[in-house]
Amino acid sequence: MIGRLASYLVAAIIMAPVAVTIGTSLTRTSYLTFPPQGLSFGWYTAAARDRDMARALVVSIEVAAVAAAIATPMAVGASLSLARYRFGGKGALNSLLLGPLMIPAISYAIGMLFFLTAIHQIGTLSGLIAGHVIVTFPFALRAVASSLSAVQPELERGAAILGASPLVVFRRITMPLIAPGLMASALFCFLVSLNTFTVTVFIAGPGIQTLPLLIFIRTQYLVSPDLSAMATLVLIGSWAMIVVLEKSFGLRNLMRQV
Amino acid sequence: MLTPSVLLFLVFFMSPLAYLLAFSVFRFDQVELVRPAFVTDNYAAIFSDSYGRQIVLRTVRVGAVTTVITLILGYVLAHRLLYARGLERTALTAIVLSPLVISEVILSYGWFALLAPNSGLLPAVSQTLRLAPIRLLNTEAAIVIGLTQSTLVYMTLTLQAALLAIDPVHLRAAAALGASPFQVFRRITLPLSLPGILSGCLLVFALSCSSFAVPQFLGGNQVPMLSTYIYNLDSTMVNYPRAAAASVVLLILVGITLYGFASIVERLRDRMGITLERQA
Repeated sequence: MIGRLASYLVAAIIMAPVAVTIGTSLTRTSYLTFPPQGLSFGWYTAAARDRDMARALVVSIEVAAVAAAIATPMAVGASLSLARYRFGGKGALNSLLLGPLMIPAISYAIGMLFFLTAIHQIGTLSGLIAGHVIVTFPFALRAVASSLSAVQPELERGAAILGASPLVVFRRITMPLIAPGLMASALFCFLVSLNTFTVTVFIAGPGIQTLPLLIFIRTQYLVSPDLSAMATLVLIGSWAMIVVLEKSFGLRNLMRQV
Repeated sequence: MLTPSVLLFLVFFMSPLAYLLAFSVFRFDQVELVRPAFVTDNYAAIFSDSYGRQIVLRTVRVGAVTTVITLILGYVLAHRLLYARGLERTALTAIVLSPLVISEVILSYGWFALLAPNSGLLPAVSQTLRLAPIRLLNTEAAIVIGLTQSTLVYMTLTLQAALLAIDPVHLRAAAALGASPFQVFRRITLPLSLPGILSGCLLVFALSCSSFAVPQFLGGNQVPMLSTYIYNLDSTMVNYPRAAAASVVLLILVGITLYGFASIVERLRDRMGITLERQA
């Protein structure tokens, strides 16, 4: 009984910031207050009219879509090689490709800042996308590898024995079998990139603003309920994607750390 | 097929890390900002003055306190998840997993709004309890609260897997032989879940020490951790060499944690002859 009550209390703590974000977006007051005073969607229309927010949303989606489109096919190539061929240094390569999960994001972000400055790509969209590809790649690799591990190699070998070229084997056998994994990988990369903050702060430069960056900068200067409204919209969008991911793939396969 | 990704990682992952190492031994210059050199001043600056040492200590302390609190709360959740069924199980699982999929910026923003001095809730609590106004924003406590909430999921999942791996037969045997529930927990459950506890702690400590969004939103520059100090060095002080050195210190701190705990966990597993399946 005590255990049950305690677990509900902890669950309430987990939900606290989410409840406050949603709650403060519904207030009628011009300042953040929780519980909300009155109930209105006025701050949502205010957020929708905010040009900077709209621009940040577009940039975020752009970066996330391109990063997902680059990371997923590369992850397919990498996990096919890692799963189907034997060669030396496989373990080392595997840890290299999962490396971004193992080191603090901020250490990578600082290094990337120096590197992009040296090659004159700091503050550019392509530099930002490169950073996001690296950050999302381990998740893509994991999603693709786990769906590849469910494919029986006998099917591929059978096709090869019957005369299919490696490309045909991939296109007709492997690819259709791992299609759900590719879908999950792309969606998940998109989501991870959309939420990536640390790397973006350091390499985006003054000209580019993603949504997390905009929320961060605004909290330093002017906090108002329209920020909560924006954050709530991002929450709802992420949840929608999560539901799709969970239904099609199972989240735990994707989220395992280390 | 492996070549494109390896090339990508050599250019955009390994090169930045090489630059990081190089910059950490370069000299800071008022005019040119960075001058190639081989000096240890930047590392010395972090450990020689009390401000720098305080930051390193705070990082470790916040990580450790978060780990302990997370361990307790995570055990409560994992234990409940073992017995929960039906709707309770689904709801609890969804809530536990939710911080994984919510942007750290939004979580931090939520806590920021909750702890902000003018946002209703905290003043209301202190008024009802007739306490002096509680100020939490920009304190270590605020950082610990935010980190606990966002890392709890990793601890809970790890503990849950460890508890699931325990054969209930052992528990029943102990109880049948007259052990009290507390004795069963202390003598059977706890030792058998020790590898899970340790690997959960390793993960949470590493994640807490290296988090940037939470300490930046909730602690700001008033209670700097290594990560927020790095940001400050970069954005306001433009002391890139020292920012690089601080990043390397953080990298090593997290690296040692991950390596040290991983080998402990490995040894424990061997000794106990149990394999932890990390799936629930």
